[in-house]
Amino acid sequence: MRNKGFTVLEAMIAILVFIIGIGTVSIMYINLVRQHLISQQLQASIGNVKLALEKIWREMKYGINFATTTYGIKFQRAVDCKNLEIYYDPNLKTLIYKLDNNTSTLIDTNYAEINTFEVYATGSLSTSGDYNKTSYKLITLSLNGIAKTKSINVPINFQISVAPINSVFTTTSCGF
Amino acid sequence: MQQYQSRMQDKLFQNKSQSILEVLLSLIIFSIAFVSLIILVNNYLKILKTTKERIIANFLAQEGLELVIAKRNINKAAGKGWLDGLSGSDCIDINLDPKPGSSTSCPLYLNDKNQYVHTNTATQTIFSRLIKIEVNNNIATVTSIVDFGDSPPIELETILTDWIPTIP
Repeated sequence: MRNKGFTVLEAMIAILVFIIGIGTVSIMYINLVRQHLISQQLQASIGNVKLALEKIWREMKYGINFATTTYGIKFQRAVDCKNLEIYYDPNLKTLIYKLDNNTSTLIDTNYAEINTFEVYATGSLSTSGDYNKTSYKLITLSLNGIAKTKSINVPINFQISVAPINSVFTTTSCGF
Repeated sequence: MQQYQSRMQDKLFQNKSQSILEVLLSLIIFSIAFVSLIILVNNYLKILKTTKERIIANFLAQEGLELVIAKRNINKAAGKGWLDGLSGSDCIDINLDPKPGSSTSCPLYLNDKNQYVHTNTATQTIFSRLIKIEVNNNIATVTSIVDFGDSPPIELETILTDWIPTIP
């Protein structure tokens, strides 16, 4: 009976190869888990901005008497004639939602920071006359910033445009 | 029985090396597992990127529909035909100045105010948007198609008429 085992050298090489293999696979697995976490955090961050923009879009869709301001836009809600202003705060690096005199932030700065916020309003045919002649027919908000995760920041550039429903009426329910 | 035991012991304790076929097989299995892991990690990075792009594309497609609605409203207020200026296959951006276009001729650029426009600037994006309008019996079916990267395009559709309601 031949009872020859492996030499110490052979065993050591085998163990070394095994360790290298396991090590590489472990590193890749850790990376995979890390990427998964980043992906989840990024989705939460972008979701936060998306939610804010959708809220703004909905408010503007049913808004009236729009006017641009230095850092944003102000208008009235047709449903209750309350004054609503949406503007960018360069110190807080977020968007502010101001309904009458109550303010709240629209984007959690733990999730995303806004660097620029551009408002573009167009489609007004004249400065006087019926509301459908003077009203803006399209309002565009362009937002540039970063979506944050614990390890990386991803640049974001979102843009929404709204054609307000009430811009076609000759008068508005909140007076004109 | 003794003969069988002796044969088994011979087989168990013989110190023969692996055949080339066995080595190749094990290498192939190891490579498949290894490559799968690499692909998985890369896919996560891709998902990370396309999630953001898909949301932007959705906003741009939604914007496309709003642009046509705004153009219709301007036309109505100005007393023009409700689809005046729109050819049925257009590139239209926030300047509301539609130009006839095709699926390959409407790229979107970022201007110095970080606005997505069709005007050719230094910063071209991966997005392009085409607005298609089909009119039947004075009812327009508007489709906004946003192409981006290798992903399937985002297509949104709405129905428009030239009806404007009277004062609420």
